[in-house]
Amino acid sequence: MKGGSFFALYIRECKKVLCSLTFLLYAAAVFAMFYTQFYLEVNGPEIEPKPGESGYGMVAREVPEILMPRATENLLWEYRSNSYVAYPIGFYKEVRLKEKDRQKMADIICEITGMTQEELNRFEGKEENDLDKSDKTSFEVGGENGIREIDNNSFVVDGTGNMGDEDPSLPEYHISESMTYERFRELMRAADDLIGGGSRYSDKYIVTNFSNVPKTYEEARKEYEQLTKEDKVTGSYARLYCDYIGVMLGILPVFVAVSLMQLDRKARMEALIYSRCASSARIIFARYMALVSVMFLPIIITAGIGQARVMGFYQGMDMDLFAFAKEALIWMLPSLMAVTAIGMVITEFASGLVAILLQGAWWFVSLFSGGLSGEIGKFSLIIRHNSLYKRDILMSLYGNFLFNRVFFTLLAVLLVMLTAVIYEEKRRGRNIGIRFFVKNRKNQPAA
Amino acid sequence: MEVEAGKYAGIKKEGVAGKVGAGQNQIRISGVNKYYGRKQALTDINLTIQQGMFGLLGRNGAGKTTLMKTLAALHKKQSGTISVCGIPIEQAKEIRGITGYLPQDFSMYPSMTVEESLDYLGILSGMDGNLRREREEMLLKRVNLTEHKTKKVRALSGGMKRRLGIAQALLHNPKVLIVDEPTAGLDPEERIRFRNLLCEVAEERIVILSTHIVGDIEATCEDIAIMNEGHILWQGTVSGLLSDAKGKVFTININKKFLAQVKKDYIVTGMLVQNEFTTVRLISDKMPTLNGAEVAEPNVEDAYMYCLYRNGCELGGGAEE
Amino acid sequence: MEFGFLLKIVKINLRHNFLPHLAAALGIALLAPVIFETSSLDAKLAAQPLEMFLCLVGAILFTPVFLPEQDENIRDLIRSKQTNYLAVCALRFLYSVFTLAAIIACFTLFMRSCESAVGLQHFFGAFASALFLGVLGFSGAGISGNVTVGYMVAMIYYIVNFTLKEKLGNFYLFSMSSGNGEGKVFLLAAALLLVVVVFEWKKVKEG
Repeated sequence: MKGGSFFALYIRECKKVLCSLTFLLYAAAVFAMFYTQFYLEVNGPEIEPKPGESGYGMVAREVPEILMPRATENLLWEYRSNSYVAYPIGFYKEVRLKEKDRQKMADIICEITGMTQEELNRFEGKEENDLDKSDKTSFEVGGENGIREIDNNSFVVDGTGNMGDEDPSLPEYHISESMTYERFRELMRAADDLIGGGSRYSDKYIVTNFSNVPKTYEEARKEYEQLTKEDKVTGSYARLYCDYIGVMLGILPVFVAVSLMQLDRKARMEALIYSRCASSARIIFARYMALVSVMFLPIIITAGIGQARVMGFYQGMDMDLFAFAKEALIWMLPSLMAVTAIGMVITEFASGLVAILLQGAWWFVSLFSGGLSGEIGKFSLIIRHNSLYKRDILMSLYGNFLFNRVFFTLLAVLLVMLTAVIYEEKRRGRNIGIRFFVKNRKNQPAA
Repeated sequence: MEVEAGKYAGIKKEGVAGKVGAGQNQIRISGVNKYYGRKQALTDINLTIQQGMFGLLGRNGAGKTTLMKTLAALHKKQSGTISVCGIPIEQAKEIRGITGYLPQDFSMYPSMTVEESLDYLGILSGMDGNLRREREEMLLKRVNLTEHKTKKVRALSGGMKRRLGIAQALLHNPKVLIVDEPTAGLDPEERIRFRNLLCEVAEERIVILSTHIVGDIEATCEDIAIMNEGHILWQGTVSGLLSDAKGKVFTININKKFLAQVKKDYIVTGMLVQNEFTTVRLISDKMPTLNGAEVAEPNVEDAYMYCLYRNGCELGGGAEE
Repeated sequence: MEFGFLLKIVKINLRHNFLPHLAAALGIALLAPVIFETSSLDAKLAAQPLEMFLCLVGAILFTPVFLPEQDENIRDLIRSKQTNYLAVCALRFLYSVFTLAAIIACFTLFMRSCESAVGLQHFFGAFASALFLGVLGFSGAGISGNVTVGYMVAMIYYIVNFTLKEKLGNFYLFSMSSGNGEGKVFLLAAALLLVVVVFEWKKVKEG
């Protein structure tokens, strides 16, 4: 059929989406998120560091001389109370080891410290020291120690609480002289495995937990240069923008998609549409494109406002005029596409409620299991980078980032095609899919 | 009743029915079976439907909707063949292009206006802008909705909604129009208007009308089929049905107190209570052994009941539950 | 209406409308100990799974109260029956309240058995948060006539609690986790007020 008619259908579908209550809620939520988390928080330019200032904040940098003793001390404490802090999927968890694993942990400590088992046992004999749990309060912290973060209202549970320096009640111990840093990290990984992953000794947390050091002027300078030169200011801010909006895009599009897909049945218009000659692929793709393009509007608008605000603070600097637009396209659009497609396919296959529940679960896990920044999994739906800095980390994972975004884009297209197939099957009266939580659905017409 | 394909110039223009062969203005159904799970919904259906009005009569649950949905390519059959104007039913896209369907229970997006709804469905039928506007205007006039075209669908009355339904089904000028129980829930005036509209429409296409209301058939259809429990019990013309029932319908005046007994022994199709006496209309193969029984001229309702009766259908409280 | 009759309505609704949602709610409750630590927690930490996770049970249970009659035809049919339609909805709401209370009570007792410092206050606080979030979903669904909107309203408010936190004042769902739970009475009162408003609104609009 003619392309003109596809366009006409697409326009009608856009209108349906625009007028839907779920879209209005979506747009309001995106604007509110943008306003409270980005617009209000970005309220001035970053200060250029000058030599001779009293301090430039802290930075997590891998310094074996600092990391090894701190991590060892913490491990001894946790071993002694047999209570290990971990964040397996982002939430605080206290792990107690069974006797067998506890023995393995003892072996690790013995190897690190060069102590014998007997010497270690003496540690255990000491009276239980009340562990100060205040630094374990999860769900609170956003920024990592010392590094200036634009905001600390974040979703991620932070694992950065440092144990205090020397604790007087801990008997003396030394790190074995023959212990190399590589071996030490290996042992830490083994300890993390015993705890079940996500502990402070994991690769993910160990540096930020035990190796925070004061930033030097050079480091602060370099960061600032990266912000202003390599990222051309707006690039940095655009990433921060995507960090916040991405959280919303991980879940909200599913509601808009579900309500559009349910509209025909709610309006008892299914049979009228089924009996027209437009192909299922045409109907589904027109709806999908309408959903994605209409839902992209609030993104483009807020990105434009964000770009203008940032540029206002850095007048006279060389800036990337299209940084926000670029990030919106390559960072935000794939998320929007994937979540919309998931909403459509599950609604068509099972029901809208199942789509909401499943997407909700995925959102929850993806959001709380990821770090605030510096981790980009190949398959994580929500990519976070809650910092104006740390460009290096992002760039070192840029391959993952691109893979991730391409993957979700392709997944989205694939799922939409699948939706069209399911739609066509239902249209021809074949009952495929599962029916949960569905009321009033007529599987068998009373004829 | 043969009409050349050339008459459907409008469809040709839309490129929807390009593959329709000339002179094949009929629907052929042979040996069709359909199951829902283990339950057999259609059993060995054989029918040929010509241009004009075709009535499908049967009680609720007889399989009418299933058959109609199958004809509209909205249901799969398990065996048998169906061709609509020469197109095998398996070619769903082509079938959808030449078929207009008005389901029993339908509505449209409540927030759209009458105009917008028609436009939307027109787009889904692949019609271009000018043709849509032209047909919309013409059909709205025909179904008497022109002055309501800016009304929201949610503000329409039941009858108006039905008329809008017919307009949408005719929008792409289909060769076949399938309407499922279109008069259910309409007031008598609306019902008559609706029937007349259907008759007009049937002058130029095949119209299949299903109903459990015998009056609809009587007023509109020449050819009919009677369905029961997924079978076709009878097919032919209305006059054929009437002549089958000739001499099998009787009237009798009885005292009220015998009414219960008569109802038990015979199939009663009508009653008129007058003081102590009741005039009863009943069906029987033989002359009833009651005093004063007279042979009556059968109407379609009687004939329909007789058909069910002759085929051994349970006729507890009459055909219309 | 006599008691036996009410009981029958409840029974039918439980069987036909409530089971899948109950299953989802129980699923969430069972997932909580997997995601969160539940043993040997102090009062503040113990509030986390209760407030931050179990409040979702409220959204699952209360949002679909109006779902069975989302279809206009069915609503009209039900409303034509002798039993007041809104009374049936109120019954559903009530048994959802009991279910929520039962789930949270069980979870609180479970945490207590794991030597976490939880008490009646935790139960009450978690219940108030879950009820409020649930009633937001219930109101969204009830007023819009669209259950999806209800879930969406609840979800957005849940997210807002992570971003605005204490700025929400008495409406902050996770106040116990940050050390004060004074707003809970307020949450409970607000939830009840909303329920009354929604029922009145339905009464006026749909008779």
